[in-house]
Amino acid sequence: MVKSMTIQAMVVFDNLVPYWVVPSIIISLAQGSIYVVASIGLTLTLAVVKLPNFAHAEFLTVGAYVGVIVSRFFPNNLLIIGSCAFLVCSVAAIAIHHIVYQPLMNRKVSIYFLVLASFAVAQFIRYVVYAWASSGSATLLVANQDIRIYTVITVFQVEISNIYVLAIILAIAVSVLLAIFLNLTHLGKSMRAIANNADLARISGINVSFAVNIMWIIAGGLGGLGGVVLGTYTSVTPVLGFDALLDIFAVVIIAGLTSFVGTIIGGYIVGFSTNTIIEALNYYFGVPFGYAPLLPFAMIVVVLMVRPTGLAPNSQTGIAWLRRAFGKGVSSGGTN
Amino acid sequence: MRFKFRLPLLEVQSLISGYGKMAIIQGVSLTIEPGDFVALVGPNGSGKSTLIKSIVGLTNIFEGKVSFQGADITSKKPEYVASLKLGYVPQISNVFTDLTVRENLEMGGTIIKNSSQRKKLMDQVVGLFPILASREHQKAGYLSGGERQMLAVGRALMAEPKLLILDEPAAALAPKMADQLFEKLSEIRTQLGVTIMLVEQNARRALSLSNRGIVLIQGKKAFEGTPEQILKDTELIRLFLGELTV
Repeated sequence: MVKSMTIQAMVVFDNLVPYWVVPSIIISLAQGSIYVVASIGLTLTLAVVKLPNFAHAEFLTVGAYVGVIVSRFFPNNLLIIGSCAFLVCSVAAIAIHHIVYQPLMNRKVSIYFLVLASFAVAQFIRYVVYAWASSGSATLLVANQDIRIYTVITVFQVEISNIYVLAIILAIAVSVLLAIFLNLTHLGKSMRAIANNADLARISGINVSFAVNIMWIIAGGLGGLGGVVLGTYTSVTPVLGFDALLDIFAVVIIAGLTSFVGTIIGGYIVGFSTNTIIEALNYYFGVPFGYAPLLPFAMIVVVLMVRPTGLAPNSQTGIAWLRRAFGKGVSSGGTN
Repeated sequence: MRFKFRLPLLEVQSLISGYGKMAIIQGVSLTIEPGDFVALVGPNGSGKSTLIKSIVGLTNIFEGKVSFQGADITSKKPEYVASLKLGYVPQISNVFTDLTVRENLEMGGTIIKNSSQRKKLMDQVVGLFPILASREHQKAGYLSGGERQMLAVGRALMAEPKLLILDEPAAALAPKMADQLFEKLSEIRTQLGVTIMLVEQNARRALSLSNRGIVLIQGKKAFEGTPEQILKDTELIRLFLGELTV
């Protein structure tokens, strides 16, 4: 009886909802989750040291290749693979900071020099990876991580793989842990303080160098972790990160550059735009799928023109709106 | 015969400092003794803010020496200077606007490693500025000007400073709010035993609180003495401190 009702419900659902909707939503959620993990380290970099680090995308590439190598020794062991990618990319991030960015910051160069330096670092890493991957007998120019992909659950006849589940769980875990770190620990609050006013942080006795080092460890590590997840989703090549670069920047621009909540929202907006939205545009208006990569760039332009501060909700504005809505007024505001 | 030497709390010797390669402070020397309330006065652009920024490590020092409690802090990092318990309240951007009031106070107490001591200090600061308790979870950027200055002073007090340097804390405040703040500064000196160096444009008000005044003109120390001596020097007042004319 119950089984026949379930079948009837599925038939009704199939008639009402186009066939592509559920699979594309699931793919959008998974891809959006990957964008969240891949971008949140860049948001942290932008918030704390105000650097739009174009080399961040290369952490994804390095992380994915670490995944390729480590998975040969520990196949399917996501914990070891992820930990190694995090560690290697953290070390790389710290090294880049001390060799390139810190000396430039000490000379108090303008942000333009730092951005150009990050471009140069990105190119350097990409070509080192290229040279390494193309050397030796077994080329790694197109490689795959040794991680078994299998169906975990079937929803409305759509098979959901372990990789999709992993991406979504990882995005939630990273977001929650980072929120706890930044809001509940002294070091995390110090990072927010540095992001807000670095000079005041210094005169308050905050060890800025230490906090910035930890920031690079987290940012680089999360980039590497994002690379491992991205590498399970697609083939690993030396341009894996570069291909994702503009999508990642679309996410952080939608986020208003420094908002973590905005990064989560931005990740899923880009994830949905490159899957569900393009499916809908194709289904209803015949827009070719080839236009999918254009959507995030269109979003960058629209967000910069309409709301350059990003789409992240402002908690104080939200609180003020709620107070007004419920007739309690706003407790304070303005300046003397 | 026995001599007893006591180190000054802060000693600045022939300091030449500024921004980039430009020297703004031109050979200033001064000392601050424990328990002092020193008013640093002078007209706009005389280098008052640059002098105190040089003391806390925020400018380039070209010549001279700065010592705090006997330790050389010349060109040392601001975080090191803060760790020696030298508190500084800048004129502007003196609170973390994106952090809550409580978080601002926590950041001020970074150098206090003992958590129970930090809690005690927070209670002390909130006792001094009760308004901060009711704003505890509000972001500092949404405070009024007066509340913000109280938070800025509270943040500096969280480090239990031996010397507190304040750069024109009442500059943007309404007169009533400014009076309240200056009352609190006197309280901080008498009740908490904190030595204070106050930079102030309104020389009369600053000198009325202090036991010693230093007049800075064009990056040089023009005069140093008791408030009475400065207020009696009509030539000094006429030339440089016009607002004092009575």
